[in-house]
Amino acid sequence: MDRKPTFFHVLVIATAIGAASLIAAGAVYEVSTPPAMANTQLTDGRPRIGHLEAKVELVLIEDVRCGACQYFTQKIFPEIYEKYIETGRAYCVMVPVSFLDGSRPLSNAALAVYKLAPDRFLPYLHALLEFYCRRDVGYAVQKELLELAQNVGGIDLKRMRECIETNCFLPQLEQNFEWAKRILGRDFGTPTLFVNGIRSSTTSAEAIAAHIEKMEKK
Amino acid sequence: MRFLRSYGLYLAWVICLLGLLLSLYFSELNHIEPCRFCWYQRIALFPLAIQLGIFTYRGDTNAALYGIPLCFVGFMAASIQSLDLILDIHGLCGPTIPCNKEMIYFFDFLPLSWLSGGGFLLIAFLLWINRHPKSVF
Repeated sequence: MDRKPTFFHVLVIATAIGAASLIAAGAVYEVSTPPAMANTQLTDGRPRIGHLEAKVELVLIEDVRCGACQYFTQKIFPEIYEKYIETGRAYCVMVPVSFLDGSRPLSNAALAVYKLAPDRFLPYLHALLEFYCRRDVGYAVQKELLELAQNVGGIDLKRMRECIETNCFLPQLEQNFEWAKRILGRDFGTPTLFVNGIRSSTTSAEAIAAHIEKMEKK
Repeated sequence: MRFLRSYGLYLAWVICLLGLLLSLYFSELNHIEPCRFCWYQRIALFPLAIQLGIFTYRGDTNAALYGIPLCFVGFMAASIQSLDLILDIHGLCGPTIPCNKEMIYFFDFLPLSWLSGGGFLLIAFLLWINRHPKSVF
């Protein structure tokens, strides 16, 4: 350079160094912070799908009214279920949380189905997501939830109605929400999936499969 | 105006760097996956941060020629993303964004897409007033 550096050049270089330092500090912070771990003992009593002797444990935190959760449960989870859960290679603990508008009665109904007929939980959850995908939760929600249960079949409708009317799983839903907020902190979001306590992808079945297989080998 | 003519390019670059740092903070430290339109804005913003740094150091008044088209792309993406808020069109951001974070507010009141759109406009304005007299802009 043939020109002498001026104050302005120094200012520009200082700004560039400042920005680069901030990026480097962020990268160091991110690398040195351990990934969120889920102490899954706290999820006892939550819906569990699959063989409990399986080596890999999945913990899924989701809100049934959340669009991303609907996408995950309907498009990504079935692949994982078929390949790892049905074959006994993994089991899944579902932790429903309710923080979105209208999700409480739906999550409550899903938990009621798990209590009354655990094997009907997944079909009911899929029916629930399908039905409320593009529909608001209105005044007829109790009737709709019971109709869905009737369509899925194998569920004691009388006890289901009682549970829906009394919101019997509300304390568990609140407990789930507090637990999820505690373990995820500022990273709280739905859906969240843990594979043996380590946070995994919720957007790619391939990434989840790779994570499960890595855990199987450990 | 004289101050803007002297330091406008530098200010545009600083705004661009702030946008870059904010964008990296949300995606890498806060773990919020950028949505489709956020990515278009990043495609415009990231090269702008490098380009404007070089232009500022060299005092090159041709920055407008290269910067304004990128600002236009970023502003359009931010505007489309803002429609989600104004017209309540859900799903614009795609299904992979955790839904409790679909709309991020800066300081709890300013949607990030509005901030981004405003930032691109301001950068374009600063580049415009610092343009070369014979520039096509």
